Amino acid sequence: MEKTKGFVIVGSHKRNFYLYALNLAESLRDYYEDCNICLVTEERFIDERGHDVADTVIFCEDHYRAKLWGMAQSPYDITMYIDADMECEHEDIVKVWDEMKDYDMVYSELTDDRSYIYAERDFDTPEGKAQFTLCGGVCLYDMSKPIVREFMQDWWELTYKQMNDTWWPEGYADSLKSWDQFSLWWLTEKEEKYKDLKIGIFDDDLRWNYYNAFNWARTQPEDEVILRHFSAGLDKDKPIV
Amino acid sequence: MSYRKWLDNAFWENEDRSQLNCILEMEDDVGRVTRQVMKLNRHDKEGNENELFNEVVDSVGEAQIDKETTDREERKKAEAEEHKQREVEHEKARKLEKLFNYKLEAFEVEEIKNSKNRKLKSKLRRAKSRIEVDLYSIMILQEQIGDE
Repeated sequence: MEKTKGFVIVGSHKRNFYLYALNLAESLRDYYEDCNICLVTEERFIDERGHDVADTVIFCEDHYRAKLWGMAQSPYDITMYIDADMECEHEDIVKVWDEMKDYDMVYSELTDDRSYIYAERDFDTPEGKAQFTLCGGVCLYDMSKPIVREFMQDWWELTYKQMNDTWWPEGYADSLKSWDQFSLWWLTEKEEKYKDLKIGIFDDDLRWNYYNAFNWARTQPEDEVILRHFSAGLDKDKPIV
Repeated sequence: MSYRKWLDNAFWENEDRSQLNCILEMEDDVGRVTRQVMKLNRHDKEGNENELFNEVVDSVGEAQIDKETTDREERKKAEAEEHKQREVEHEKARKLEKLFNYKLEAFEVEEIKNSKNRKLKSKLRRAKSRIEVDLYSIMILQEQIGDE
């Protein structure tokens, strides 16, 4: 049986994220009309627009990193998670499933030449220097594989613990606690269980997660941007109207 | 063993070659290396030749100083151009963020929010400027009013 495919978008914690999520979902429909969309949001935010644009709506709790919980709830086999504060601007979005190849998970990359926009990338570990290399802004993953399902659940649970101070390894700076990239790094680098996970990077990955904070003169994909990330320039707390 | 030498990246400070910018590298008896940047005039206030200036020209060579001067000018020009381009792109990015927020505001207008016209709403979302956003917003509003 063919694997199901769809997008997961999480708009929670603040109403603005719900509005960003709606916009992202609508922009996906602009270029990929019949795609499957699962919207994860809180019951207090949902309105008719959410039900109209999404095929599936799942309610979540109010948590800063509900995105990870939402990722683990995906109803699709091949899932493309996209941060809510992104927008689709190219028809090549329909080709996203080809990026799965034979990987278990696919991310965009944090590289040295892009580091000028990262808040915290390098850090000390008891074994020496380390750095984050995977960016969780977008993630394509195969939920039909039990190991990937477990990974997504563990990523959420570990991040939850990390953020409420019930788990933290010795020898790591407290400033890293606010990053789900840390739990991602921990699981992929330190957990024996996940050492054989096949993790890929999108081809021309900037197309799939182009931070608007990048300077186009310095950092640009080879082809046109498909998904633009407005992360840095938005006032997430200020009501939109 | 100590030494004293002029680095070969000396360049003319002005077109009439009356001033030279150069670096003197020195190593003392215990092996400590220091570098001193100097701006040397060809002549002193009385019009006498500057021996140090002549020493640099003899050591580095006029052709090398000419080359370094040209290379440096080109380098500086390219850097200025790159900086300018980055500023332009930075501005474009800020403008895009503002436009994104402006569109979200438009989508919160009751009539636009309730509109089922996907085509127009899609055009609004893809708008490249505020004026375009306004135009599609008005079209959606008109359609909504017409439906009432």
